Amino acid sequence: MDELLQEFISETVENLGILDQQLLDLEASPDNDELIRSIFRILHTIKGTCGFLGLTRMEKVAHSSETVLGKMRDHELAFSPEIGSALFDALDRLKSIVDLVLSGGDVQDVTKDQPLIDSLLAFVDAQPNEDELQALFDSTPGPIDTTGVPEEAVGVDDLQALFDATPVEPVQVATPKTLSTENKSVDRAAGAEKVDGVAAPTANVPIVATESIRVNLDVLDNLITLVSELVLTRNQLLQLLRNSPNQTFDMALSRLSYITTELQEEVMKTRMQPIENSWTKFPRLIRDLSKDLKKKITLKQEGGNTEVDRQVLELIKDPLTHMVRNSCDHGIEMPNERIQKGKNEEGTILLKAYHEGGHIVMKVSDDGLGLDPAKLAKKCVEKGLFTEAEVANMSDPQIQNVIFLPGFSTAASVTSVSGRGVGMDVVKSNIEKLGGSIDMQSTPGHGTQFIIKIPLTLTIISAIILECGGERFAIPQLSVTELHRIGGRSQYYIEFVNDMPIMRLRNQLLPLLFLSKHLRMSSESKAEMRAMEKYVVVVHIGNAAFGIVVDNIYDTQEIVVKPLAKIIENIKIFSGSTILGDGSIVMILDPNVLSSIVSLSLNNQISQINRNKRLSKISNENTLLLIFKSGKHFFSLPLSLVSRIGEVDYDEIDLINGVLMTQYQNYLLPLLMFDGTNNLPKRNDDSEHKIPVLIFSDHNRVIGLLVDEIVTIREEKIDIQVSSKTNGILGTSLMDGESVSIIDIEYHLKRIYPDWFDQVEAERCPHKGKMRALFIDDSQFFRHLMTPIINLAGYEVVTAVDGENALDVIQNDQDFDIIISDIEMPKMDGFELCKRLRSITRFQDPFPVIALSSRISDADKQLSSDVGFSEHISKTEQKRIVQILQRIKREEFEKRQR
Amino acid sequence: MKKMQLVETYVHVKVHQHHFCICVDQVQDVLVTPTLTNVPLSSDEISGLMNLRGRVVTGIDMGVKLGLSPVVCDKNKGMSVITEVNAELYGLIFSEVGEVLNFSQNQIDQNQSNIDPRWRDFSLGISMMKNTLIVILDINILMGRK
Repeated sequence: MDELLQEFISETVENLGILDQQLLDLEASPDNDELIRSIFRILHTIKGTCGFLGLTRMEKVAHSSETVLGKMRDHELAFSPEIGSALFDALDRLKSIVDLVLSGGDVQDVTKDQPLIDSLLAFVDAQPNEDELQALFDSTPGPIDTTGVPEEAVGVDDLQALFDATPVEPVQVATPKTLSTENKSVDRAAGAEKVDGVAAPTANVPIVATESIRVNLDVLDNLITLVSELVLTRNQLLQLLRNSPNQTFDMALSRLSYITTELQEEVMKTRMQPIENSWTKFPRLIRDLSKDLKKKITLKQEGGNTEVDRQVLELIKDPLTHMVRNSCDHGIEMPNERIQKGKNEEGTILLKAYHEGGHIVMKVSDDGLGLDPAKLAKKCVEKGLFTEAEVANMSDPQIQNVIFLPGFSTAASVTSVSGRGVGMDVVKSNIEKLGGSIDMQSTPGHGTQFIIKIPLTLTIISAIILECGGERFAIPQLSVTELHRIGGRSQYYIEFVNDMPIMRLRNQLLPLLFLSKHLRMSSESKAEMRAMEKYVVVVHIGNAAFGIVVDNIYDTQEIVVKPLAKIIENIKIFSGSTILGDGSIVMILDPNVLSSIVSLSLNNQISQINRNKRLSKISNENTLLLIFKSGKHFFSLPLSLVSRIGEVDYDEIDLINGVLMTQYQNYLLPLLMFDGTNNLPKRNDDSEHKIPVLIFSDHNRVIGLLVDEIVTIREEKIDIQVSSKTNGILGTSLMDGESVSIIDIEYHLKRIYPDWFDQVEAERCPHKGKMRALFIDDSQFFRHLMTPIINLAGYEVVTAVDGENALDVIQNDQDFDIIISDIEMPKMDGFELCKRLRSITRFQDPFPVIALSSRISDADKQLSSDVGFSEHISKTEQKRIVQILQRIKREEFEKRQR
Repeated sequence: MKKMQLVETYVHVKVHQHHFCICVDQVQDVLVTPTLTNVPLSSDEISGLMNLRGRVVTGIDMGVKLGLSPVVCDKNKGMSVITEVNAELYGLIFSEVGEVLNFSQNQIDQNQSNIDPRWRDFSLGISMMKNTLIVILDINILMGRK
């Protein structure tokens, strides 16, 4: 039994069930007009469908019942128990005929039902309308007078054979108009195919201008597969001919080629459906949503007849629904809010579709709130997706794009409509699975627009063929934005940032992925990587860009995607395979998977560096500071102290003799947790949990400081606002409204190498033209605090703990450009020290000897000036010290110039 | 006549010096292994993909699959026996494909203990031919299990 008939039967059985109930209700309340109208409608539907399917018996019974109901509806006949039972009889008859249809019994012999029909019509006949009814009855087409072809002889008809051979299924294919009359009769006899003229009266059938038949999808899919094979064979032939030109075949082959192309296009059309089909439920959805949300929303549709592959249509439905829901819920404002803003009370959601170069572009836009970057930024920080510092550095579009991140929902509360945390990230990944892309433009206050770009069909895609490690691969062209030559004589070359290959492309750093390495086909050393002339395929996935390094790039081809065999399905890097024109098979690379390989952390590093480059342009500060995060706090230290920034494998960290150790590039690296403990943070679920490490090295000694996250590098003035009493922290400074602790790296390094700095300092003497400062202070904290500050001003620092100690130092080493001393110290205070210093030739005025003290009364200043200090500065005025240090340096420099 | 019904036809194949055979019902095609496209990151037994009249067939190196040394090397591509298991096409690559053999049930020793433990799971038994022992392979089990 064909499916249409089956569909009819299931629908009719359902309708008969409803009729049963409604007739029962009617008996209870015979005056219910609404009920009568409903029963009339159902009977009318059954009658229409039966007529169209050629089920004459049912049609007749339904028709006579409908006539009775029609009279009742028009109040020309009143309900009576007799009429009720007659109707129930008719109902039972209809059911029994349906059973007959199912069992393949006789459903054509009208005479069997005549008594029933007569009994029904008897109620009507009592009314004076016989002529009219008779006319109606006569005009109803019966099977005998219209069927031109006897049932049994149908197979003889060529056309019939064609129809019979075609499995009947819900896809509509055009039939030439000239056949229509003949069609109708055939149709009636075959009892299956739908012809426009007859189909129109039945409910719920979309009005299609062309005449169509239903074809089983499998048939179409097979047809497409076959045509794809034909295309491949054609390509193979063309390639053969290109290799050995032959005049004889040339003509025939070009004709074959042409026809194949035409055939392919035509067959592809059968898979195409207007995109409208996926929009049909939106008017209803919007009506319901606007009711639920008490908003006023209209839906506009443009380009609904744009055709798209059936499969694409199916897959795009859910993402589209999600976006429309989102627009209703988050986008469109409440009516009064809209009026206040001077907008039309009614919000508009626009669905638009059009073709653009092998792709279909779909837009979902609303004229609502738009995405407020400030709100989103706040939410990002709350959700811990980004730090405030990161958010502050992001552009508005960047922030707006966070809605595509997993687990993001902008609605303040979860409503029934949207905001369940499965949001735009799912939409995005679904669309990317289709080989498409999604983009968003949003103007706060004016609305949001989503732009979806999807290939017209999934089976044939345009791909770039490339070579790597002696094998050819294909990569979908949609994701590829640029191709470059790299290395050799090219203007581009491979560089390494912390072992990660990168390339500079128009002032942006592009992470590179060596395909051969990832496919484990070869492993080149860095030097080899740099030396070779290669090609870079630049791929954009969402906001991320990266380059794939390959050996060669051939051409672009239309390829037929074949799914991977089950046995190799697990190799995610490939999305399928294809057969090229020369008959060889190539694997198709999945750019989305490649993108995830270019690990997120590395990506972040790069984007950070790019961001910092931008920052450094606008700032005129003086020190490059590395800012990192440990726990909840931000810390910083001068970048110049760090030799390298790297990552260590969580699993490769061992505790040896109470010190954490790991192997890092062939040497053993002692590691320090920043918090001073040996407790490693909890392991991530990632298979490769990497911990960022700051590496300090000096004189063959190396040490790594494990931190939670490297936030950024920026040029900043060290401006310690709060001094710290904690060991290892010099003080706290404010950057972008965030308090950042400046760490005393010396303290941390001495935890592993107690003599770290001593040796370093000893070896640094004698210095080579660098300015030097002697800093005297009894407080260890202050020595630690000031050393880097003076350092940063461009001085080497020698420290002493009191006056006596300072004089000891001077005995051996007088090569200082400035002396800075505390006043209050044990053994010998600053005043005494200054007096002594001024008596030494080397340190007589104008040699700068500066008092740095917390004693800042006028008396103290006077005293300090009396004993010969050049300046008296409060310990809290570090800026001033830096200024003086810089001034002295400048003067010294000018002196040397002269 | 009843005895005749028990006779089944097998294709004789070899992996190096080892003899195997496959029920002819499971064989769709036998051909010299066409050009193989390497599938990076795949397991060792997958020697590549082959194009069989426009269909992509996964080539399985039977040497590796049966726990022996690989059949496919630079010099020798081997012979491919095309078979379909669970609607997937496989090209089973053997060193040699020989003649068609007929065995009746009583010629097959189903005593699994005589079989190399590596092959026991996918073997239907052992048969004799001119003093050579031939292991009968069950392709469904062989390819069905991962």
